[in-house]
Amino acid sequence: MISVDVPVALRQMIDARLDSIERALFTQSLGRGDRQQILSAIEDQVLEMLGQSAGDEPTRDDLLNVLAKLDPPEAYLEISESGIAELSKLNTVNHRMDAGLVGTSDSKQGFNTLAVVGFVLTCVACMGAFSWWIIGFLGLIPLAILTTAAGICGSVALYQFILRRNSQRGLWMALTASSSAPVVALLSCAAYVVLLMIN
Amino acid sequence: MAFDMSIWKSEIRRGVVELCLLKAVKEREGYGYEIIQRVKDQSGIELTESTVYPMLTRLANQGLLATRLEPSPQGPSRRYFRLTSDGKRKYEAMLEHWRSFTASVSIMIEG
Repeated sequence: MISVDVPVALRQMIDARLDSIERALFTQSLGRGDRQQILSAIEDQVLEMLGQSAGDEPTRDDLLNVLAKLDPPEAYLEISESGIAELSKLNTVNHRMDAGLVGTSDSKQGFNTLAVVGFVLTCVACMGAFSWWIIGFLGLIPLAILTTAAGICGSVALYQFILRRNSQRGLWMALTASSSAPVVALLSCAAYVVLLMIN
Repeated sequence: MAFDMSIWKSEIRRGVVELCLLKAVKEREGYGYEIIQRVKDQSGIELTESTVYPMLTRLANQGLLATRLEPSPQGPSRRYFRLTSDGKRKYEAMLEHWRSFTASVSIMIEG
């Protein structure tokens, strides 16, 4: 058996491949220990193939040839039921790893930005629904703009929640924002009735 | 959806890979890459690591395979797999079913 002395640069290439495979393995119902076992076996195979093909001083090309003979990381995706769903899950995992948010697969990220923006616009619009009669009917124009913007933000946020399989927080904010138009209209009517009663 | 021969082949293979792996380690223990090579040498079936390693891990978790670690001269410790007594019983049962099933399919196809 040949003992392979792998240079640092090649070691980094192997680690990069193993990292990609580990991300794909997140889609399988395997524990951390199981993933480590699989990665160790792949690493062992890479080194053994490298030793067989390149001897004790492998080059970058030798390693590329070995890696080309291996299954790509995508081959480790579990696509038994829905390939798209699993790919979506992998993308979420990749996003978490890029953001340094590696954790359990079902842990949620921060709030959805559009949901928060939509909710804030809805709150402002609700307040505007009671105050437009102070500044007159022209106040209805910004109110309509606010309501429309809130509705758009909420609807887009809801669409993102569906795409990302509810991996973010703020679903209730998105629901509130997307239904802002009837709420604000109702409040405006109430404000108008109050105005008539006062007068 | 059009018929895809490659999907059909992979579905056929999927069911029998476990049987092949159990047969490969029944004779003597082995580590991952060695088992892949053994299956290829004995049967001509070319299994790949993305199929074999997760499956070996699952078979070990199910108690059909036992494992032990041995230092490797070229990297991480090697995990050697061997068939447990429960694994031998399951293998015999799977083999019996396989023979019965293939015999029935042959009768069906050849008339």
